[in-house]
Amino acid sequence: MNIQRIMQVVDASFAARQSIEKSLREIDRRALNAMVLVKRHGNALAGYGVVAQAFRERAASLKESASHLQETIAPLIQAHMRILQHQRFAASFSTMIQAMTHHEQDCANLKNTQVQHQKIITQEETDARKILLRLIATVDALQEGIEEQEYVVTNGRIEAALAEGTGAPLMRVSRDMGEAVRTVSNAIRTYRHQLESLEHESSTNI
Amino acid sequence: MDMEILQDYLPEARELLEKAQEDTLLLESDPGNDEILASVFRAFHTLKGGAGFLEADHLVRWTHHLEDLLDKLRSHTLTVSANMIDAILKGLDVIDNMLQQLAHGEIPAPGPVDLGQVIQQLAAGQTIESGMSTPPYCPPTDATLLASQRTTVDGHSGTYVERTDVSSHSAPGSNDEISEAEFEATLDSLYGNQAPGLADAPERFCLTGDEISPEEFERVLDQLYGGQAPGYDVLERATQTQPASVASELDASAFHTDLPVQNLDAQQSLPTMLASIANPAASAHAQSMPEAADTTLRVDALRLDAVMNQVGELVLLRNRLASAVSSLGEENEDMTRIAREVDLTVNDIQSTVMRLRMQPCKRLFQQLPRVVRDASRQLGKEVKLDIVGEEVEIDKTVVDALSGPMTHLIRNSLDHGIEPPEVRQAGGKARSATIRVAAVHLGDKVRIEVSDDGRGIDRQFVTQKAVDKGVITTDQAARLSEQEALELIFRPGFSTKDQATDLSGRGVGMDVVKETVRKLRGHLDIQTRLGLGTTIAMEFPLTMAVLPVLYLRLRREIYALPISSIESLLDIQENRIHRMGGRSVYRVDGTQITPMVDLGALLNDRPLRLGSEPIEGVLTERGLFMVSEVLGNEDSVVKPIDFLAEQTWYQGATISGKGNVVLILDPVALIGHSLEYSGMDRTTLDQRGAA
Amino acid sequence: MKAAPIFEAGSHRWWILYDQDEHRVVDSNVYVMEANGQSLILDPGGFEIFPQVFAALVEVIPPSSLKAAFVSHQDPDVASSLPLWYACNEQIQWHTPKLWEGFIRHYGALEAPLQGIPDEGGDILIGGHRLEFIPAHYLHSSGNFHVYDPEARVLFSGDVGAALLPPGHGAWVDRRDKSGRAFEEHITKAKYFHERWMPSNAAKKDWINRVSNLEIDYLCPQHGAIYSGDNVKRFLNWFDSLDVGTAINE
Repeated sequence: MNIQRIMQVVDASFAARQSIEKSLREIDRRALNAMVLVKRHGNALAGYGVVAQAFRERAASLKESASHLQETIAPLIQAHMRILQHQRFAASFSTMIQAMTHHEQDCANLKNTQVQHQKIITQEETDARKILLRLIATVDALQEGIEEQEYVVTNGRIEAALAEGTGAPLMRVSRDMGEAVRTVSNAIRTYRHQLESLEHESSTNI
Repeated sequence: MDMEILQDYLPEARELLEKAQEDTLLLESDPGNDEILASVFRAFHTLKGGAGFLEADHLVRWTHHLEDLLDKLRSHTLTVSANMIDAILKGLDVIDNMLQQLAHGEIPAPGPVDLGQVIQQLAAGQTIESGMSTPPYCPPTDATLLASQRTTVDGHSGTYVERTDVSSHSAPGSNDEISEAEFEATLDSLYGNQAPGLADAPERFCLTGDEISPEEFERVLDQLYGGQAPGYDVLERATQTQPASVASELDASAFHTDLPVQNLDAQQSLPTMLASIANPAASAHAQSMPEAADTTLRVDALRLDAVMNQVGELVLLRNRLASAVSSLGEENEDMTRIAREVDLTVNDIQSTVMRLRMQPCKRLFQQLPRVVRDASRQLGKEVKLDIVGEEVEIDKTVVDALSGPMTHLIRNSLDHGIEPPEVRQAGGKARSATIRVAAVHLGDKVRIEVSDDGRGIDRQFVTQKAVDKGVITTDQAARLSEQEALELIFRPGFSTKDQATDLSGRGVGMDVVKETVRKLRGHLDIQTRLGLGTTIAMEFPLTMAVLPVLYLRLRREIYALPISSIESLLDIQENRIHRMGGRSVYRVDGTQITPMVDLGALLNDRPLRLGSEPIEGVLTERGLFMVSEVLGNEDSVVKPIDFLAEQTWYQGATISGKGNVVLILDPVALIGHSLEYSGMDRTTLDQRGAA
Repeated sequence: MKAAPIFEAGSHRWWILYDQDEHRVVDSNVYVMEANGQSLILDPGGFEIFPQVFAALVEVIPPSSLKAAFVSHQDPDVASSLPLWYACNEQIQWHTPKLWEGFIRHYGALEAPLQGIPDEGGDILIGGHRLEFIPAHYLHSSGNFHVYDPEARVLFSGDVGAALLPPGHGAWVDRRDKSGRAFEEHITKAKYFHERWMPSNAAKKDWINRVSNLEIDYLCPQHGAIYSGDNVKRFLNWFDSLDVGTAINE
């Protein structure tokens, strides 16, 4: 597979991770802000308090899922870099074989080694594909988490509407929460598209 | 002295005293009001009765003089005059003083002779001229209407109702039962042969107090037995003892402090009866609101405190449980559910117990009319007092602790704020000034305001004074913002009056007010407009029982901030940090610029470096705190700390869900300190920039 | 391998990638400096450890930000990964001692852009920050450079300060130890390395004179752990008094 394609995915992974981490921090802060607001209004906003608590708990579990993302990206990158290493070996053997042929010599051992390297590459590519699929599954889990979070935000909007009389700026808080969730959601969706296209390429390659 | 009786007597007496004072002030504007006259009379009457139990002879005598005067007023033998009101109010002060002596376990000393004589002369009315030097002294025993079933010394038997006192329960050898002989002996020892009024005083002054009318008798009987046949059995069931004296039995249970919570199911009506018998004032009360006595219990404050502390421990345990369960993960659903239910239940208990401690601000405000009256007379100023929000409830601790500061604020306003009537008039203001005292409920806080429409506070004058008195240096003065200049009045040792006045200029006071507010975890704010008036607003948490806190991390340490002080949490953006007048400020949005405090610099002596380490912002009412990370919130319980030298930065400590001791920061103190500090050290931000 | 931050001031950062997983080759640290979206990799390491270095690197910077690589000398643990990096990103500018250019080409990637550093040293701009190439010839290679970042006060010192540590080692010589005991213990693992790999007491003296003028908060060797704070001074004193080139001195 084209190494530049891999580099693009690695860059995308980095960007996605940064964006997700930043948005999750933002989500957590929004949730804490909401909880502070609730606490400051005594018992009047208890309903919203439940939502804010749920929002924060979901944010924590999203953080957890996001850390698994990182755990999966690293092996994928390593696998592709090993492929690069072996391609490098294979290429140098192939150069040698060509040079030998040029001198009308044939070295079975050399060819054997080259074939060996090709096998290793194929094996590594299969492994890399498995890791990629696992990574996509992790991203799926993250997306599900985001959907739950969106559901919590909707609940928050309802509670906010109910508690409008208290004068607490809950509608604004809910809107901010929604915004933060949407940012993560977008970052993950973009990232998923990139992984999918990589997966597509690797499956047609093999 | 019987301590048990004393413990019951004191709070009741204080309430009576407060009520009497309030009523007396009302009398001033409505001197002919029979209801009020009767009420004040009853107050003295009841006070006297209780004092008799306690063998506080001087208190008995003092209240008797006042009772006597009121009796004359009540029967319209005399009419209310300003002199009388003065005398009654001063007389109330003497009683207050005597009650304090009682509270210290002392038998009260005699009241001031001159005032006593004035009261007696007033009560005697015209008769002073007729040369009567000794005041009339009525039969002193009319403290309580007592119903008793007994055989008297002269052989009669039956149910007796009499105005008298029953003996103290401390009589040696007695349990709850008091023998006839003991009873009589006590009466004798109390009033014995020295009850001069019996022989010497003109009977006509005492008739109304001494005689029990047939109607009164019937009423007491009805209350006792509910219109049924003599309720021997009822009382027997209730008390389970031989009713040698029904009255003393009743009193025994009423005063028995080991049983503050009566067995309400078994004897619903008993407390009502007791209250109405033991206290005619309450009986009158009971007619207007018959349910009140049924549903109200007097509980020892110490016991409430104990419950409070135990709930505090429970809250901490709940937090630890929640933390422990959450670390189990999702695998144990049962535990999670149980923990959640415990959480809800503890929340309920907490708020119930919190309500137990709530008291209306009326208790805090009711002393103020008197303060205003006295001070305005003394200073020759005309002042109207408006009180708003008496019904707003707040933690008992606040009510108790704030009484002094409230008085001080009012006096201060009268003394320094409000102009003499001529000055006001010349300035185009109404002659009569208005002081407004208000309590407002705001979410999890109660706001108490004292405002006046006086001359306002002149900041330049205040600043100059502070420099003159060495409270601040000229340099510091030049750097002060308007608000900070104003707040100089809260500095210890500051007093704006050149000559300390009797009322408020002793240079102690405003700092004490501020300190009290701080200790109550409150927050004090002052607003003034020159020529228009001053408002001092204090905000207190609704409850002192639990403190919702936000945990935050400063590098490796965890601290807590009270949530009540927090506005919001921010992501710090470097381009919003500015330097103004040698201080770091943060531009929160288009309109709000707030002081910025780096907790790293303040608590670690090492500024947090933006961009080099994680930093989050906590925006409070007074300023923005930079911390490493905000962790989460928890309802916590404050444990006071007393081992720290720089205690002023901390409100106390708490135990987090993870079981660690965490210091609770005092945001106002921190901001205040850092503002002073930043004047000297301007390098904080520069260092950050260079790092 | 793990990535850990060394210095951070806004977008200006230094990282160490350390504790490699492959133990059949000598354990090496790789350093990364980033500023304003541009980054420099220092002694990018051997061919065999490339996959793990790369995976650890992209945890802290996006690979597209890599503008330049610095190679202190010609050794394989320093530069044999060059062709793999070149395959990933042909734009990386390779700053190598001019003396070793032709030798380094032997690792492959004949087209890779190599910028020879003259014997007297030079400098480089990364994201607007100027880094200096400090001559360190004969320590141990005859054409050898270190890199100094005057703003971060980081000195990348190649083989100077190197220690051979067991797998699982930390990135730092204990930073909180004020007593110097941690340093004393650490330096025993550096002693033989310096005695045997450093050939010249004169070169050592020259280097110490040069480096003593620099303000150094972090002294970062290619093997072992970082010296910070007081440990920097401790190391320089120790090295100053150490007799090197022991294979012929005895």
